[in-house]
Amino acid sequence: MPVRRPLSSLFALALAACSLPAAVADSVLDRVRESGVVRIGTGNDTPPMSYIDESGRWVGFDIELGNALADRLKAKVERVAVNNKTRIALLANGQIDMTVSNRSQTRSREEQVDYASPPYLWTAKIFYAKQGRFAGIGELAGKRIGVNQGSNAFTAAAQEIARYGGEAPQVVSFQKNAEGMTALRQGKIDAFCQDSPIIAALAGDTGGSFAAVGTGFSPGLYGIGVPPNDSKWRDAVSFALQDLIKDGTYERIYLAWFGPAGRYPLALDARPRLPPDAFGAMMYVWPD
Amino acid sequence: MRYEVDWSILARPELAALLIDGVRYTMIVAAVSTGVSLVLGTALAIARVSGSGWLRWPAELWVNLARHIPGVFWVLFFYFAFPELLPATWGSALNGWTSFALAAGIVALSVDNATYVSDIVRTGALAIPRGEWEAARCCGLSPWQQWTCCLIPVTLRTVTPPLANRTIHNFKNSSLCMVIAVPELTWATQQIESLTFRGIEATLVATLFYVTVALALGVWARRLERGGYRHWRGAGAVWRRERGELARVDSRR
Amino acid sequence: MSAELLRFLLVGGWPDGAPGGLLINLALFTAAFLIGLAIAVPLAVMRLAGPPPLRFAAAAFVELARATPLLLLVFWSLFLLPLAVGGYPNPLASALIGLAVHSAANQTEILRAGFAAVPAGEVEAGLAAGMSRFQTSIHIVIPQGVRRMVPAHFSFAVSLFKDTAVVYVVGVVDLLQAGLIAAERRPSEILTYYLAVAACFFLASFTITLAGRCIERRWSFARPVAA
Repeated sequence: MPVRRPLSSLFALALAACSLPAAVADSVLDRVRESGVVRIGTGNDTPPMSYIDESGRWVGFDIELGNALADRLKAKVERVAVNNKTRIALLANGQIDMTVSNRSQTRSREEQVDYASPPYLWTAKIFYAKQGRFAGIGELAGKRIGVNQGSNAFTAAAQEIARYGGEAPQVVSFQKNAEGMTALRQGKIDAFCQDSPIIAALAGDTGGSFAAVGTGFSPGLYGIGVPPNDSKWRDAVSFALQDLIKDGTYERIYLAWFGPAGRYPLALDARPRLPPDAFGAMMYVWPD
Repeated sequence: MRYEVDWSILARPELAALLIDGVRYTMIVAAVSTGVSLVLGTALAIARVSGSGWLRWPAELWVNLARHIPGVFWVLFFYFAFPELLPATWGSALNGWTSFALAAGIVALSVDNATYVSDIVRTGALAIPRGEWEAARCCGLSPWQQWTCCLIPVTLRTVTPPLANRTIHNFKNSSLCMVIAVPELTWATQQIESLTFRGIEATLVATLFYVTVALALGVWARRLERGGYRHWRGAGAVWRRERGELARVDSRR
Repeated sequence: MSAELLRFLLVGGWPDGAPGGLLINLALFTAAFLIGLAIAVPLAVMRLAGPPPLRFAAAAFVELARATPLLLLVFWSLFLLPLAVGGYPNPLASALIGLAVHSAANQTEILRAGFAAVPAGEVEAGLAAGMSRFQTSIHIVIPQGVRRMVPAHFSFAVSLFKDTAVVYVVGVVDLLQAGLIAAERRPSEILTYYLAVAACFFLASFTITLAGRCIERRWSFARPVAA
């Protein structure tokens, strides 16, 4: 069989698939109101944000927040499993209505999709390594740094280490956070870099043998992603989120997961608050 | 649904570098593991046809075991579990080695491919007509000469086409190494998707690469097959009949 | 390893929760094999006896699908399918489609080779005896071809079953993923879980091999040759 012709037919197939007409530009809000269903993308392997527990149920902070948002929007949740790699493309292509999926706001992501306001969890990236092995982030120069493929740690970790000068690190990206942690335990990488709440859950039973290196960096402002260029829908989601913050629902979910008596207590307050010296740490909501 | 293809992202130097490196790693993994599995598989095949039960049974046992376990399992096993089997100092030395992921991937694919290679070589060796062995013996050749001058060349002819097909499989299987973060081509497409949120462009380029190389290897394999048939009717025909390929050659009349 | 974890490896959360583990591999294997066969029969007919455009289309599909790594077939169905038919990618459905395409292409090739291997003389004998082409196909080509392809089909079945393990890459909680999850939760027992996963894969795929051997022996087919 000639080699060339099948290749050109692949091209034809791919182009045909890509040049499909864009969907009619109605707001997602109209569709959600009409159908009473909102399609929420969440991860399934990222405790404590969103995961499937051993009995097969979806649990996590993002799951509960997504359910509360859907309640506010008077819609039923249709849950779509996304991973760090698919979550942006799905939104950009309009295949899901929002992501509540531990996603930090970044410029490159903002170019593809939009975010509801405010960011709902304020976190930071952390390097995690054997206790006492590294005195500071500067010592990670030239070392093997594990990240999860799809996390912006791939870019952020290298940039942070570069600030201290020295050799560029070797960034190794794994398919899952847990695989990166296994690699760290076994000494296949020298440090693992991920957002603070996720690291806290991953570290789990490793007890005192691993610890953060230096302080957090690269603000991870978790935002609810919405499809681009649909401000009607974006506002609806923002207002619903702020309503949850005002009426205490957010607080309840936050305390259950990250509060002092929660499942994964966080050392630093990750709630979306305004600067304390100006507003006395008032929650970040817009006035009417 | 909307997706606008944007080829310009592939021109961004850092992304193009990922693809180029990906091709390099894919070729390294595929070439080295194919080479290692040819040696390993041939050794297993010799053990399986040898007269000594001490050699034959362990080899049979191993091949029948390994044949039923997925390649991707071997990849994860050699990367995550194998160092745990070793004494602690050896294990941590392996874990500390920067190229360990690459090495584990190569070993895993070699183990996976070797069972198939050993089947092919064994079939090839068993397909040598009894007369060949007897003739070789009667001519007064020493056992070494019997192998090198007669039996190995004959077997080579029969086994080359199926081995070429196997090499195509192994080349495609190199993509499994993405699960242990070896930066080969499939990993690179996923990495580009995670950086740009656009997967189709890079995946299309990668697919074209795999398809082109696999089809080219396929054309080469068929040429070998036809050549083998012309030059060596005896053993080649036996193999072909067993493979059910004889009529395909006939039907071209 | 506790009975609870063994259950997680074998069936996941089923019957109370989501099915997973080996059950998913077996389900994917069965579905992909049958769908593949259902597509392969018409494709093989097209390749052997169709008009030239159909013959070319079938050949192009088979050659392309066989030249693409299975992982990329799965990724393609993850990307393209939702764009083509709407909706969002479902990892399990994408995994099934990738496996089904792989299975269809390879089974077409097995069917084609099997039928093509029926000696031309047999067909000529049938025609000379006054049978029509259709009768020759029904009474000579199909029975002989099917016999010839059974060993190849069983060795493909074993390899398809093993290939279901790659779906773990798109996040499906199959046997491999279940084993990894278990091992990640209890890192000190990593070897136990890898061993358990290997044993489950071995037992299941060895059963397919045994079934194949049994059928071959009963119908006295030729011994299978290495794939």
